[in-house]
Amino acid sequence: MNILIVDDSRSARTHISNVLVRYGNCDFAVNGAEAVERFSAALESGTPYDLIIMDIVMPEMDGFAAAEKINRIQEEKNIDAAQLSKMIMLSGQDDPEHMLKAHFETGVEHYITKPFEEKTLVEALTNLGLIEAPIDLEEPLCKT
Amino acid sequence: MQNVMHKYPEVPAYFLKIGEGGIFDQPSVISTVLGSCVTVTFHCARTKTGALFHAILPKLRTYEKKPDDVNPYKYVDSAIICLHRSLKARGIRMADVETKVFGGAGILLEGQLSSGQANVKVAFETLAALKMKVLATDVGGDRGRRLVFISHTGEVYIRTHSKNLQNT
Repeated sequence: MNILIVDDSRSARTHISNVLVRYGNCDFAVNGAEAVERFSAALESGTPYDLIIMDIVMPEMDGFAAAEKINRIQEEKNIDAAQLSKMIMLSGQDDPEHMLKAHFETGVEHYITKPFEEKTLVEALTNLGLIEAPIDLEEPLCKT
Repeated sequence: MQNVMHKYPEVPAYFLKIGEGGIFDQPSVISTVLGSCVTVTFHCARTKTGALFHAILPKLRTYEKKPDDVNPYKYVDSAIICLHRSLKARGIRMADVETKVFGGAGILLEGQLSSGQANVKVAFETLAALKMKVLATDVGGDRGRRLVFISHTGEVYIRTHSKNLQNT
């Protein structure tokens, strides 16, 4: 799995990559503009990112603008829905305004608030279908 | 990959229907299926207590003239307030409780809230007003979700439906 971690905090990038390195190759960007550059370059080289972890508050270009640009690039390239890069917003902004903007204006379905625990990030990877769930979700549970 | 009942063989399983919710102080596995409806899960790691609901509409007072006679789990705001109050009444410190928000799928319409979006907005606003910690959210989009909540660990696993809501 190819992973792009976008965060202006070195300690946050390290914390996130310590969790994700066992699942794939981690690249880094320190702001939204660099993230868009890295995303485009990876797409052009035929090795697109499977997962992007996106902070929101960053210098130069924030996570919302970067996510919108990445979405637009994927639309323009007519990338098949199944091949689109998955995105998780991982931010210290835990207020309704930021979370609603992420979900309903930027179109990101997964949001994790900082500080976060490893198990929360791994759970999100599972729910994005990027790693196998520890339980079979297709099997119906008995109804009691 | 294990069937959930094999991983937790002694743990009772429940299916949560629309307008249902409650607190689980014994280990339990609860599943539900969400479209535009919203589920908020609550988990206290210290006491291994879990709680959740499955609400269909955003605000109780928008729809009900006699709020005291109404099932609180039908509405997002009253369901959150009811579980917050009930957990506190059991002596659980709200600082120890972490929440996650799920569901709220719908077709986005230009310039107006979809029913799913309205449900999520009220969930976020009610949790913020109660100063409750939101750990993670998996909301929006145009596909339904099947959810499994493990009450004593707080884990939530989601499978997103393959068809969007317009095609179901």
